[in-house]
Amino acid sequence: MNRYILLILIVICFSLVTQANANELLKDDLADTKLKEQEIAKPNINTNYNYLDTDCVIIPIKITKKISTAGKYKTLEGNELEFFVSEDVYYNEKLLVSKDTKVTAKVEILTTKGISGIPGEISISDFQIPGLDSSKILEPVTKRGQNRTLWILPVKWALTPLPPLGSFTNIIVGGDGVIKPSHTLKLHYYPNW
Amino acid sequence: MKKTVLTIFLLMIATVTFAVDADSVYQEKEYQKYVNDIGVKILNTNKITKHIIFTYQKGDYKKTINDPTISKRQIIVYGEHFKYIENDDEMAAFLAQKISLAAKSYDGEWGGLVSVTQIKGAPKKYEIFADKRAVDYMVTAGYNPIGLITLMNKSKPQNVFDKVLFHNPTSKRMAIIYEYIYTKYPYYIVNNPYINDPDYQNFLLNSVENRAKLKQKIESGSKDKIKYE
Repeated sequence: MNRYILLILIVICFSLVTQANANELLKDDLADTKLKEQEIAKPNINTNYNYLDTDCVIIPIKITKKISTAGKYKTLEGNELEFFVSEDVYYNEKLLVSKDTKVTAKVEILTTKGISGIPGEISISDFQIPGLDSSKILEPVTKRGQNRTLWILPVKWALTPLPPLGSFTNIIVGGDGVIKPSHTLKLHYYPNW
Repeated sequence: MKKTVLTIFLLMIATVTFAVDADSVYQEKEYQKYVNDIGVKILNTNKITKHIIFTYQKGDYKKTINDPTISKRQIIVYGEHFKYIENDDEMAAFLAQKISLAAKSYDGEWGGLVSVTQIKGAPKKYEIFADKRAVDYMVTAGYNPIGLITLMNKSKPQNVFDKVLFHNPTSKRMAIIYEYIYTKYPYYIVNNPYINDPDYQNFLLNSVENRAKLKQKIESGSKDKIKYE
């Protein structure tokens, strides 16, 4: 009998020690303070898909304001962007989306330009077009700056026998990723996915 | 008599060896299926239209100049990696990060040859890109992106020369991932099943200064890029 009592006491002591350790856990104060009062929905998960159909409709869109990966028009990740459809789009001879329809999207990832001619890049996702299912749009849509690596590499290789000239080409950076109102981005919309 | 005993003994050894080999092959097939199932789920749910394959390889990771992730679009999970991977989220994190680089290697001119050169030439820049894209891939596929932080916290060392050489310090990468999740997918910060996980707790501990910088940024409403350590 005494053995059982001892065993129970040991279990109780162990539970108390565990509880004490649990109380020492760190808290994520940003979650507990900054986000607590906000209403946050669970992000969409795309598990229902069927890629049998190959029909694809190209939707041409144009941005309303110029954005860039750097400089005066620099945008930021998460910024909302506004586009409009630049011409009527038909699918099976029916109007799918009309010209000037407003399109919204978000800047997903910005990659700044780098040495050796690496271009800046803007990735855009979360496109919303009234009347169309966003999950059928192929995302992200990316726009890169001028890719100077294309000519830097041959020049670098040509200059390699004359050190250190080849290495000097490393300091040349690529172009900024820019989207101007005159640029047309093409959205790939798969109506039967 | 002696001959018979010897024959039976040899047969027994052969049978045992065959059984061990068969077990090993079966186990490898199981690992391969596990890796493939999660990898293909990420590809399909994220509508990644590029061809990428997943391979389980037993043994330790061998670093090669020709990284198959970007040169062959073949993602290899070594037995060594499995030591750190404790759940589906972490396996998805490992694969999603590699998938983002493999998919990126298809971009641009000359069938992606220039992109491959750029990824190899500027790994620091593309590491951050791959981390952020991995978070997006995981969320769309239904995995918890906090798994990327826990996996990185226990498996990526913080090298002394990272700051000045070719890779970002792991602490900086984890802080950027945390900020990305906080900004884009706050649901996972608020509803966090990893909060009692020792590896996540360790991340909270070693990221106190970086998270304080993020808190300051949020409170001030600043849009500037944080200089994480």
